[in-house]
Amino acid sequence: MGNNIESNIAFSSERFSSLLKSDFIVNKGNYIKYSIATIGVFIALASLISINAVIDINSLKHLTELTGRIMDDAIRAKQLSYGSMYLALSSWILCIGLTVCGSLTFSNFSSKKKRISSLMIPASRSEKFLLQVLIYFVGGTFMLIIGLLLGLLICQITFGGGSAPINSVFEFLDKEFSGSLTIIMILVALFGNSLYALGSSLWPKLSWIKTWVILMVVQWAFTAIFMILAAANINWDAFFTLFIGLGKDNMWILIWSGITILAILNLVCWGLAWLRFKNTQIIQRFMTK
Amino acid sequence: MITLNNVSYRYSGSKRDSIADFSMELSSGKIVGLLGANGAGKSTLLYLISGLLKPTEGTVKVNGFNPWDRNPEFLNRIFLVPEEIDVPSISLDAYIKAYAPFYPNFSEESLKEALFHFNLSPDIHLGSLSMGQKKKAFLAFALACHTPVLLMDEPTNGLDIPGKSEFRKAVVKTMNDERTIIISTHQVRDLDQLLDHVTIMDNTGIQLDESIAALQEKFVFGLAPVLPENSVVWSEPVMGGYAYMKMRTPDQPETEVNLEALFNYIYSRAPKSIY
Repeated sequence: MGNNIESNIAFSSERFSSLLKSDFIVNKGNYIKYSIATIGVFIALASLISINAVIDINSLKHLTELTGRIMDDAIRAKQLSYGSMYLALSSWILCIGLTVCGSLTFSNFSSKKKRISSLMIPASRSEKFLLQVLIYFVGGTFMLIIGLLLGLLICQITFGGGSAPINSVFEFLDKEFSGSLTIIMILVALFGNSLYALGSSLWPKLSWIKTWVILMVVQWAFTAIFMILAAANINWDAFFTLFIGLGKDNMWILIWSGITILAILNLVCWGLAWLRFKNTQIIQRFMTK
Repeated sequence: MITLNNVSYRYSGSKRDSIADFSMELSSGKIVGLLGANGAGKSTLLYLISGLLKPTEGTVKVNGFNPWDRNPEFLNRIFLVPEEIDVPSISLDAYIKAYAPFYPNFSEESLKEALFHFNLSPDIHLGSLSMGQKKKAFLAFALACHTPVLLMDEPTNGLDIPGKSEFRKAVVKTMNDERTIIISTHQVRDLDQLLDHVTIMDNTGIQLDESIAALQEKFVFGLAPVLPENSVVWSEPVMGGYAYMKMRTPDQPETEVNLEALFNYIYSRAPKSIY
């Protein structure tokens, strides 16, 4: 064969495409399974909601006292209600899905055999890191969004409840804060992903559960600290007055501070994951087997 | 050329160094047997040479590369066959398509030849093979990559008796002057008549580092119904008499090195007493 992928640089597009190709050859079965499972969850949810919505809407049509515009409004309310239910539940699934994708990011390090196999492939660290990010972050997010949209399509086809909730959500977000809340929501979801990706770089085996436990402990610790502070004899009035006194213009400072902090936290998590990945040894703390 | 200078490595959480102040130099064109008891640090040494571990102290150089840099140009010139292999459940053909492009010297002909030695067909599916057959297929691929450095950690574990013999033949077939093959094992009989050089180590360092030719010049290995009287440095009762190792005199013919006898001798006594 004698195929020679040359260059000594940290990133070679030729080598990266070979890496991508080899990963797909070896793992395509798993990726197909993950994709089917992801889309399947959304389709199952949309189907369940659609069945209930169709039954409910059909039962309205049997009510003889509802006619004309009243009937149309009642049906529209049902469509919106069931559509919003799908959107709320599927958004929640999407967020959980992003954490699962994050926790799978470094699953190629989950055993000693896999670490040897992965680390010995003749590609640079940055190429190997980018491959994992591309597969599990970009690819995973893409499949989640595809699943969510397919579910919406099912809702739209079966009971006409696909577009109404989307419009109402964006209408609200745009009206109130010109879409900045959308950015915050996306950044929060991505922060979940990056936290779990960091967890995956630290403990690649059973990563989701381990990271979840750690986050729960951190959350309890914060709750305990706040409870202690609340119980302490501190005058909080001045603190709360600061927020109550903020006008709508000043709220923008808070919103953009939030956006900036979330963006930085995302970058910090990915930066730490990269450092851990870069310095991974075959046997080290949390990676002994 | 592989050089280790005062290398130490301690695993996270361990109280002692797995390898302490270890120095070694290996030139190309040799098949080196790295022998040692369990826990002697053989695998650790192979991981350090392949860049899978970062030395706690000291330096490792492999053909001018620092392995820990994990430079792709270094990685396509080295192949590690670990004790436990990770073989995906795909056809051998797909496996070749996935990994062969990374190795510039990969030869499909060599692969077919090695597979033939191991009694495997080229159109196999790796998922349907037994553990021993998977190891044979992986070894065949490793040999066919023709990397200047080939490291093998307990390669004969899991191989059947004909497989061990075929393994020796396949290794010899792919050997050349530019290649260094290091075989780590504690099953010394599996490497009979294969090695050019023997390194016996424990975790305090190298206990013996000699070429087979030098060992043949210095020692006589044999079997006798009665233990010879003179110059015996090591002996062991076996069926029908004694296996022995003794100092060679110039008038005695050279014998094959009995690696097991040599290993047991080195482990039972301080090497300085021999030389």
